[in-house]
Amino acid sequence: MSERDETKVNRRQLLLAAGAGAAGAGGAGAVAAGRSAPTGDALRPPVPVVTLNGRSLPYKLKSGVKEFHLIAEEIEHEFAPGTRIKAWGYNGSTPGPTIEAVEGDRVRIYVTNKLPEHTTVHWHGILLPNGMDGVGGLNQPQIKPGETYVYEFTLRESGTRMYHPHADEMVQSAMGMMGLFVIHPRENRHAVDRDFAIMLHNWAVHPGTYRPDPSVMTDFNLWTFNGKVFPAIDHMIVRTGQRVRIRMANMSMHDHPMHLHGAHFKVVGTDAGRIPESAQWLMTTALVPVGTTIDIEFDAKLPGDWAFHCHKSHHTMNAMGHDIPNPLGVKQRDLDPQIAKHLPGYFSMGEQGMAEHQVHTDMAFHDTPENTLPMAMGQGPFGNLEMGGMMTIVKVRDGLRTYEDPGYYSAPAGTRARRVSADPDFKP
Amino acid sequence: MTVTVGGLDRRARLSAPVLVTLCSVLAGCAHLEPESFSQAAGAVAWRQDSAADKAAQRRVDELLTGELDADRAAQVALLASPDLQAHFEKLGVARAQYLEAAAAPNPLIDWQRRTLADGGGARVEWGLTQNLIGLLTLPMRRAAAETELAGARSEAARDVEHLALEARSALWTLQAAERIAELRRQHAELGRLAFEVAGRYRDAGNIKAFDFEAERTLHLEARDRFDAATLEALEARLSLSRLLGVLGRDTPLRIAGRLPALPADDPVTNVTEAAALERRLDLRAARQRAEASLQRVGIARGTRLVPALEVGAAREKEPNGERLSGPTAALELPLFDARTAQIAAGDAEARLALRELEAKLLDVRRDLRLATAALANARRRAQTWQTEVLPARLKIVDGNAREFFYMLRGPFDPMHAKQVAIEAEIESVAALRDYWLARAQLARASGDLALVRGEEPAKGATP
Repeated sequence: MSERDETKVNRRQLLLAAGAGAAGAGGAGAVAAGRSAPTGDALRPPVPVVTLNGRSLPYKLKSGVKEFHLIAEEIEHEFAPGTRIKAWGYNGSTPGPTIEAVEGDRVRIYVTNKLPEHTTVHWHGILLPNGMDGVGGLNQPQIKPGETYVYEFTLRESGTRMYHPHADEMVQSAMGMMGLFVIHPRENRHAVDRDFAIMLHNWAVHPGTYRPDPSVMTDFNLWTFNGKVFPAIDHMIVRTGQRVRIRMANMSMHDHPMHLHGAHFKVVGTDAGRIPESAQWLMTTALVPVGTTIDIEFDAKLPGDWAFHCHKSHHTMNAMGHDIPNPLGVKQRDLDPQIAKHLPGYFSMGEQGMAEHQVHTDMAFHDTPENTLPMAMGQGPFGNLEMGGMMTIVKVRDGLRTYEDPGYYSAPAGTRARRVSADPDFKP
Repeated sequence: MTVTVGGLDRRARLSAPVLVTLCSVLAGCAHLEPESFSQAAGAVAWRQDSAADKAAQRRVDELLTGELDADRAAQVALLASPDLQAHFEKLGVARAQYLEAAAAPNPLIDWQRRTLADGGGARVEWGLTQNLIGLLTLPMRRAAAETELAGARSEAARDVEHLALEARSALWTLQAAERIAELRRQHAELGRLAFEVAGRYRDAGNIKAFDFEAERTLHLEARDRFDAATLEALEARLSLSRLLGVLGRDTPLRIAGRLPALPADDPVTNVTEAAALERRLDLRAARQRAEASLQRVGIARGTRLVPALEVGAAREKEPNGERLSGPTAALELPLFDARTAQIAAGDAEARLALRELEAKLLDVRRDLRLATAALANARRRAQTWQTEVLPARLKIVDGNAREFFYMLRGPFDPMHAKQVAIEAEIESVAALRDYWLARAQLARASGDLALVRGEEPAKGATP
């Protein structure tokens, strides 16, 4: 389902629930006519969250209570075309659909367990009665396979939260059981034009296998935004001048220093709510620790294609061998023809560096291994992007009319780096 | 008796049936004419003159111009093996013994002249006597000698059969040994290349000294195994050449490159114990030897009361001129020697032959059961290695190569995986060789040469 369709459904629901008018919000999927500064008298309603590659969970309003239904189940999941696994998630996806509600709402959430083992749901960062906190064995009995439990509580504060199991958590996290829980403020004093949500996660899917390995503790090989790896991750489309929020939640086993090109942002919120302005400062990289949510906000002033990625370089790669003999600087290509007599297509790589790897995999010089992705992927207007994992692009454009992907940025003349010499002894 | 074979171009195909015909002829024909072998254009020749040598030589030359398969190897052996010729000469000795034993006793002429002491004349006597018992028992002795000769012929036929089987087995052994040596060469070359690659990594400072040494040892071990396989192939080649009787020729034997493929079924439906007891030539020879012993002891027993009876006619001329004539007879009285010792010896000889036959029967049963089990075992092994282990090993190579391409594995993994796959192919070749050797073993045990004849050459059965 496209981002536009999702936006339509959720926006309507959101506005109905918030009891706010739709004035000035613009058409579905269309860019708002203009951004008005928030005032105490006429606060704009919050825009719906855009969960990259995902969606928000629909609800029913029953006697003033928003009813949601989460179904924990095994699913087929695709990281990017060509790599599929059996994962566990909610309502057909991992992460599960984003739950969106508004501060002050009373929510009733049914949880049906279709997993082969028991589970619970913990509402991470939400202040609620102890019996609703979802720690199996501590706050409630675990939800056995086939059973449905109901959670009901009032949302007393706003911000970015999560939901995830607190039962056999090592396995259920490794299998993909998680989702975002966004609580919009009753009074939208910090309105943004674009509100993106990303769940950060890591996976141990050994090449050629079809199920995550929950026994892996540190050596994960796939790093995802909302279960997808670059280049399968949606881009974030923004009109120049818009205010943008990116909500990030980390359910992985590693911290992620998330770095944005082309803008300076402030960390404005955690999973405990809004940070006072006095405690915010400008930065370009925000560490998202394990088990935390971090919201950043910025003004998209500069048009262009701006990378947004984890700054741990191995986290912007897909699966690769970590125990292979280091080929860098090893002169061995002359032996290839002899070895190829025994291993057809044998081709040594990595003497000068590993950038050539994407050339080989893209051109399919060789049969590919089963159910795994090349470690470096992605084509840009100027060549290979040589990345995977936790990476996407914030596309800022002047005068956008829709949030359809505008394609790659065309730099105005004289504003792009260019070659001036091919002489290694060049002196300016 | 002459056996001829159709056109030369069909000889390779026809040779095996001809061989069997000859075997039956050798075993069953009452009158063995040695020259018939030399005229045989087919598989086997008893060469008794230089013309026969030359004819056999020409045929061997023809056979050796093409690639040797099992049938051709058997043909060459039957023509060129000096061992077989030696066996045939034994048959010549047996035939002479037969002729001697089957001859009627010669009549005796005696003549006497005795002179009177006073010079009054001389008495002249002459007589003709014939050993009547010898004559009367001639058909029985002849029959015993024929049985004895038939035993010798069966032994000669058995030698032909065994040589043909040994030649086939030696060829299969050589085919396997040379294929294994070639696979060992590939295995060793991969070991050398992995060692060279390791050297490059070491030169670049990217692998540890002892990881490099590990590749060195793998390389040297692979080379050592290749050396051993080379010698085994040479040994197999020399053994085949020796067995075929063509060792010392300038041109090396050209061998069909691959073992015959594993056939879909084993032709073992007729391999029953009863059929084997009927068919096996060594058993037949032993039976015939035993029967001859019984026949001989029967003669001794039958003539026990009248061991010797000579009849004849005598004429006598007295000194006074009178002439006398009349029949003569001499009868041996078995008072002291009633042929007891001879009969006892004959009985013992016959019992010995029967006991040996009994022992031989045990051999046959053991051989048959073992060979049947060996064949089934070798088939299972050949199938396991060929259709299960080797394809799985090749998939492992493929998986390693694919993951190397994605930099999920280093270069040594696919090279080592390929070496392991080559090891599996070596096991596959060895198991297929053992299958064919088991077929020969079963053919020998059952006496059914159809088990090894005319197998189709391999068509890409082994990679």
